[in-house]
Amino acid sequence: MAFKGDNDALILGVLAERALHGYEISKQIKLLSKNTLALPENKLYPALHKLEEQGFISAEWIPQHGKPDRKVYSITSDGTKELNNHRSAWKKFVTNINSVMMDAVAKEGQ
Amino acid sequence: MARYAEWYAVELDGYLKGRMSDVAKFEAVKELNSHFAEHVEDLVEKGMNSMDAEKAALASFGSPRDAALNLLNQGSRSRFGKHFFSLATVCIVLFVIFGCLFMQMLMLSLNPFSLDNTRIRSFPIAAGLLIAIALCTLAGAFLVRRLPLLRFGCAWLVGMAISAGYLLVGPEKHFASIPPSEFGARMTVWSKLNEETKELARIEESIRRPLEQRYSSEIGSVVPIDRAKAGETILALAPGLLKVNPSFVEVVGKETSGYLAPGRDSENQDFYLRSRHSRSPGTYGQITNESDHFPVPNLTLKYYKTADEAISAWEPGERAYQYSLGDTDHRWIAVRQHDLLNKAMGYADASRYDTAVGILELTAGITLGYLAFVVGIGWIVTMIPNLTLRSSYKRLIA
Repeated sequence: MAFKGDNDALILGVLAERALHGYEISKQIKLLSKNTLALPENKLYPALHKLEEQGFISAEWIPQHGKPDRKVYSITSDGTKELNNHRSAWKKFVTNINSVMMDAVAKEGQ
Repeated sequence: MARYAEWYAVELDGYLKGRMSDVAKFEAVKELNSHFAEHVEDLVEKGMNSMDAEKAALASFGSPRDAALNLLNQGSRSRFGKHFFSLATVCIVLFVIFGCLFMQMLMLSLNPFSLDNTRIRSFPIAAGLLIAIALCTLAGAFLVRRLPLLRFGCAWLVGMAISAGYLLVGPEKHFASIPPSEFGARMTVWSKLNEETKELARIEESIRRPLEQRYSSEIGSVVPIDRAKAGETILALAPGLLKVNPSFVEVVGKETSGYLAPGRDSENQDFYLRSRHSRSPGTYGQITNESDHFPVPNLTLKYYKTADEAISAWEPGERAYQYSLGDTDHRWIAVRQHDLLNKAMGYADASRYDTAVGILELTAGITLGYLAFVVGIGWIVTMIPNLTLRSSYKRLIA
């Protein structure tokens, strides 16, 4: 069972809290999902670039002392709207699934 | 930067070279380096040794090729969004249509003489179609250049298959045997034919006008022809104005109107007589009994009842029509016109063939050249500087 746009939604979701660079985004998704969700690197960066092109996130290079520079992403106002759309869609999706699965369980209990 | 991270960056850079803008490529590689460093540092902090940490970090990215393809595929999709394929399809369809129309207009404007109901019109269509296919193949190559070469190869094969299929089953499949080496002679013939066609048209016009004035009262009428008096009857149509070519009709030295057109059976020199006794210039009036045959030394005359029958029986691809309009000078022009026209028709067929094959070869050449460039030069530029690192990476992974 798939929820369309899940990668984008996950990225926007973690960026809604604070600006993060790519590796942190990957870690944060794992952390918040208690290691149940993972966004592999080969999916992460294409998704980030796509969201950046769409104007949902913006990026800034932050110089690091003695380490490679970091590209830090932050969510834009359009990205926030998009995240809200994802949230609404997710709620609707969960509600619909519940109405099928949980109602069936309730009927079985009766 | 760690040794293998450096190799990874160089390798990735090589895959992205020429497929992504320099700025985008630089940023993508730089970002992956940053990610790699963070990941390794994180793993080392967790107690892993640096070599294992590097291996794990590299493994999480997948191969440099896969990483590059992911970046490139994402770029092409996001650039055009969900309408990418629709836009590409519309562009290609419009390209073919306008390519054909443009070529048709261009070639018809260059056509040195008007041959209605002949295959000459299929030439610009064929040329336009093939050029459009060739350009579409190139456009497809441009559009899919960010995708794996396999897709490009498929696009090329489709283009070639369409071109080859068109040559094999299309209207141009019957080509003349004129060798391509006669291209210069062909152009000379066409040029000369153009001049003589104009001269012939001028002569014809000078004859037609008085004929039409003289017989305007008989327009639309059926002129009976008696077998035994064919010559006299023909004579009577335009006394004093025209002479039939003595090599064609036995009414040598007598005057007549009309002109001769070759029939289907050119081997037996079957000719149709068409009257210039017409409702308007360029159309044919009714003549006489249907399919009357008149034996003459060199040919048989067939009379058709209506102009449509005569026209439909005439197969211009086999023989061009010829005039027998008047005195010796006119006849000479007519005969020469006939020879030139036949030759030019053959040359036209050969031109169509040459053009179609040439465009096919051009399509193949350019696309194969592009493939060779991408595969060959790209491989050299990308791989050779990294061979040492590549082998050590393979040893590491092993």
